[in-house]
Amino acid sequence: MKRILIAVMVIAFSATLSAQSAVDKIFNKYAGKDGYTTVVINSFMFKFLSNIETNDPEYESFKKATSGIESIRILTQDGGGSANFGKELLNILPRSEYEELMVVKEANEEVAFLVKEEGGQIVEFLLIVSGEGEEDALIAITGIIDMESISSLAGGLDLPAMESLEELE
Amino acid sequence: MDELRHIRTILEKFYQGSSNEKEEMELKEFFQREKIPEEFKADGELFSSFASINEDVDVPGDLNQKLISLIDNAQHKEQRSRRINLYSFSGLAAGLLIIISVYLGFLREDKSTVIIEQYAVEDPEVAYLEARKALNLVAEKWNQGTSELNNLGQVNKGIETISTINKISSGSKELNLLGNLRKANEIQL
Repeated sequence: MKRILIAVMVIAFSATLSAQSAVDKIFNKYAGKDGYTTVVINSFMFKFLSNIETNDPEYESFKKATSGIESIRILTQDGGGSANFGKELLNILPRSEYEELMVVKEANEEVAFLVKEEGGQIVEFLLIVSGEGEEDALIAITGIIDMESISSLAGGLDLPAMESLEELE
Repeated sequence: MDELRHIRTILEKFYQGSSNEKEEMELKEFFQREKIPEEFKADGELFSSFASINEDVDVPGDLNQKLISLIDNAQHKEQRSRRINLYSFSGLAAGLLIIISVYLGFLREDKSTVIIEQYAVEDPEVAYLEARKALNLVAEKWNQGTSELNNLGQVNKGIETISTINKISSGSKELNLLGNLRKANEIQL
């Protein structure tokens, strides 16, 4: 009886441990370090952003693309830091958890798309850019990810929207 | 009365364990008498029970064996109880380990969420810009990757054209057959 109790406790505990995902660990490791920039946008902010007025012509498609997104976390390397940041990331991420969706290789840059699946649905989407140590980046998106509406967002980034956003405040 | 006093002293000596063999024989003889004074009645019973023990007891032949097996059993029990101790000790150790790891794990996890929250963007303007930038990058790279797939599609188109060429060649084969027919007709004529 005692042994069973202990076993149950161990299992329950290991479950809480694994709640911290590999990406969480990466962010804990690199956040705030010299040469890296961390940006976190959480679900509360997305809720807020879905109710703003702006004259960004792509706002509607932005809203559609982010409707299921829980959070976006961005970790970029700005010149300093490790020379093989992107490759390090690829090595850290456990392949049992993250599947490679697509890899685009170019002369001096490699872009990898990784996804984490739970119950047949993509719950985490990772974009890893690994170049020659310059501007390597990790973008981690959690939530329900609608790739179709995200890919339609490729329009220009000259955002005239910001003025009206200021007015809103 | 002298004898009684004598008996009393040697009986006392006997109970203190300082009597000698001769005195004990004396006591034995005394208590074997028919009449024992009232004050020695209890002692008499004791001595008569001694007398019955003194009779030869037959020792069973396998006594040795029995004793050894008894000792073995006792040792075995002792070992088992030691093992039980080890079990409970390992339980204790496991419990300690769990407590320590829970302590470490929760502290760490708390810290980690704090670290991540620290970088949460609070200005909606910046958040919008960063989100747009990130999604744009994702879209750009994604489209770049999938456009390569589109090129694959073009290969498919090429293959389709080739298959129409195949159709032409199969058509020409049929024409050949027709030609053969005509030849046959010419021969008949």
